[in-house]
Amino acid sequence: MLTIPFHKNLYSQAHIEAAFEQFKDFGKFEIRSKGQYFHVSVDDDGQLDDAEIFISEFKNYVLYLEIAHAQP
Amino acid sequence: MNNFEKSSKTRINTKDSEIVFSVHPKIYPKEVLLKACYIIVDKVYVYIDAPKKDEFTVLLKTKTRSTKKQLEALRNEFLNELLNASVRKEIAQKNKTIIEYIVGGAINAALPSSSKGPQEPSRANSDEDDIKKIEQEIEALKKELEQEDFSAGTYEEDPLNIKRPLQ
Repeated sequence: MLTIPFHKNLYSQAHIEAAFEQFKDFGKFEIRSKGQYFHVSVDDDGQLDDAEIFISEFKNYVLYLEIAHAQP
Repeated sequence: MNNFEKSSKTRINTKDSEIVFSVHPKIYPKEVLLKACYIIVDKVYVYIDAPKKDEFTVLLKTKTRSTKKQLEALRNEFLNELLNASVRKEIAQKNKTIIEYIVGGAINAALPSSSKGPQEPSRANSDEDDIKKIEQEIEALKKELEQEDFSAGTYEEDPLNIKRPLQ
């Protein structure tokens, strides 16, 4: 089980959940709100060859959504 | 470690090819931070965090193995982009009113005259004069038509000898 934290001031829940759809083939995603962070849990059943790259790609994708929808 | 590296709390991890440093939100707000991320997000992995109220941390991780120097160069490139985005934001704010005037003027000029607001009095007067002139011309043509002499004969009488076949 992998857990990725996203700060609420920098990432929105809607964009994190939109990224779930993009990465749905890699495992089951769950989001929990705790304090200043959203915690994303990924249950991959040990299928991920390189979890580190997966986490980096996922973080990058969420950030990309934030940038794309940022108010001018 | 130089003064900047101390103040920005730079940490370099060559094993994972990543560099972490912090920026101040009052100097570089979220909007500026995201714009700088946009420039670099397709080249490296970027992760931003806000561990404290007055601190953003930026993690840049290269997709291939990188040396300490390469990671530092990447950080410097990112910092330059931050400054660039910050200056652009300031210029946009300064020119906001002028831009609004220019865009407003361009839209107004592109609108058809009927959908525009009240016209200037001189322009409205000249339009009315034109209409009066056209109406006078129509009246004059009507009078001309009434005075026309159609007594030369009907078409059946063929006074101009049009019915005559061509040879």
